[in-house]
Amino acid sequence: MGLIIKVENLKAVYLVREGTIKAADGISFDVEENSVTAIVGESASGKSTIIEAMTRTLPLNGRLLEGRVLYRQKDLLALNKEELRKIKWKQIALVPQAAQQSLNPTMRVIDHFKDTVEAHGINWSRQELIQHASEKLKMVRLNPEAVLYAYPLQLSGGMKQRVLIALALLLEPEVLILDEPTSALDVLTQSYIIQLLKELKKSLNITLIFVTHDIAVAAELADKIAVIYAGNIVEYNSVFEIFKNPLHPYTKGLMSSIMAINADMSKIKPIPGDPPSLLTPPSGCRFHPRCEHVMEICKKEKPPLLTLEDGAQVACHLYGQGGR
Amino acid sequence: MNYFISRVLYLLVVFVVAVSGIFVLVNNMPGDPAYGLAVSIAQQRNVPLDRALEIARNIMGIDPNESLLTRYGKFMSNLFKGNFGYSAFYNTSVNEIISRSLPWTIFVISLATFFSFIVGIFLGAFAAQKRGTVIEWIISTLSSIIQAVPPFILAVLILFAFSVSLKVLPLGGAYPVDVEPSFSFKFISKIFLHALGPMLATAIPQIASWTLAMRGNTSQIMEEDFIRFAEIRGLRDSVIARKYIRNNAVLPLVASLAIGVGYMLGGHTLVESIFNYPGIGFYFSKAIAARDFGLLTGLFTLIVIGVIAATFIADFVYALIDPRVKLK
Repeated sequence: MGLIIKVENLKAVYLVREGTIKAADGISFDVEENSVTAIVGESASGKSTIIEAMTRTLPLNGRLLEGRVLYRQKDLLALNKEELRKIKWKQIALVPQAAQQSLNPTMRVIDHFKDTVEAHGINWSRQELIQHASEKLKMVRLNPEAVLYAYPLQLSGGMKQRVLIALALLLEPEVLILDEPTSALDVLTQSYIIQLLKELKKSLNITLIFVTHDIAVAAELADKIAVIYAGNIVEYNSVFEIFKNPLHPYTKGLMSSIMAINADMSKIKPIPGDPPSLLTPPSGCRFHPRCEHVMEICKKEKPPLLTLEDGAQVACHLYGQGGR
Repeated sequence: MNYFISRVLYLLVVFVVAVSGIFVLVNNMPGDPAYGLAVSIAQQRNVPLDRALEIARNIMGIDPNESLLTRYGKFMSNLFKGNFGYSAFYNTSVNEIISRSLPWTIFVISLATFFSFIVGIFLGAFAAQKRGTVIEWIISTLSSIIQAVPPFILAVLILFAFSVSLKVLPLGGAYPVDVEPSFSFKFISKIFLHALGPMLATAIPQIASWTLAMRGNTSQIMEEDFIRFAEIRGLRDSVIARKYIRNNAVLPLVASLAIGVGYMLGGHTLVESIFNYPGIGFYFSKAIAARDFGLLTGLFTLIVIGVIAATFIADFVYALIDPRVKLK
């Protein structure tokens, strides 16, 4: 297993009337082949920005400032439009969060499959197209006969979400990136999708990266978790280690705020304070105003993402200079 | 099918209400509708005016002792038989005038609208794709200015520039008086030459408004999630522009296209009278000037029918092309 994606110092902002939203502030992480990585964080912490910047699909007001995204030694951010277009979906597929409006309202589902196939120069006959599309739709537990010839308005939200996933699987990409794949779904469909992603992970040669605010989903699916706070990765480690031994004060807070079904209510502690505005983020470590271990250096200097001896990565001054 | 029937019934009610309104309005206009015809009869046949009035009323089928309600009943029953009334000024049935003038109006309006729609769609889509550039600014500003110019002012300008000063376009009529109508190239080219002025006056403001509408729709559609998702899937820009942006942006305009043609039937009056073009609008303005109430009522009714038919067609065209309507 080698590295498939290496993100280096990715910086992206959104231009709004009030200023610039610093949504990705120097993101670096590695993704191994055939692994599952979860990007976890609160709403508006910049999780989606990371994957949108990686695939150059930021909204119109988004700007990529710097960084490199190496996919098999190719820098995605340096490719020209046509080179990138050929990689998109065939090798790296991204299922966006806005599943509800992501299908063309005046086209049948099958035509979305057809356009996708044609865009990548694959010459399937109508019969082959129907066969491949049906196979993928069955994988997401949809009835192909009912769905293929339907218009988007005839599908429910969960069905649309699953159509997008089926579309993403159509060309059997190496990397599948999903933005909040379960958040729009009811609990039953959610568990279907999680089950499906688990099966995918086992059966296909596929690298999954997904964004979620639901740490339980991340725990169930992921091999590694990247914890995002206010546009920074604060901790990146294996699921097991992150749950057993969270390092960053924010991760610790996150873990102790999870409610298990048999949890002792008195032990659940919310993190004090509110997440910061990304328009005017705090100086130094962006978590310092809420941190119980805050030191003088935290207010001035942004902590780098350190790699500790056991491979854990954490961005916190508590662990720098022989600390811990 | 249920939808079809309810739609037809609805439009029938609209038709009856609108036509009744016209009837009431025209019948409450000051003056005797037979007076105009009576004067010309009195002059031609050298009879006293009283006698001429009687003759005129006879020709027009008006009984002064009839109640308004009886007249209304007669008017409506005639209408449903396809009889639009009688023109005192032209001394002939309104049906005859319609059959003589409607083809010219439809010829000009439909060509002008079709042409301006196509041009406007492409200009608008182009402007939207050049969002934020000087090109977009130029197209939008020019369109806003041109859209604000009333067609009749444009008509006067065109007439003055091309017919009076440059003398490249004729001064009036649908074809030259000295040419016999035939299916020859010469005659047909003359028809187009005579229609060019009215067509330009009608088309130019329309191009501007289609451009603005299309630009608005297109920039709205371009921000939709399904456009981004198409880009994410690696679709070519040309495919996205055609199947995802343009098709969705044009849909609402197709409906306004049909409605627009209907409304233009009435709105074309001033342009036709400026160019002396013998369409519906030309006779309409003559009817107003000559106080020809019969012709006025008949043409009004025709315009109402035009608008209603256009609405009806627009509904069905829309249902035909937009799955979101079709499936409801």
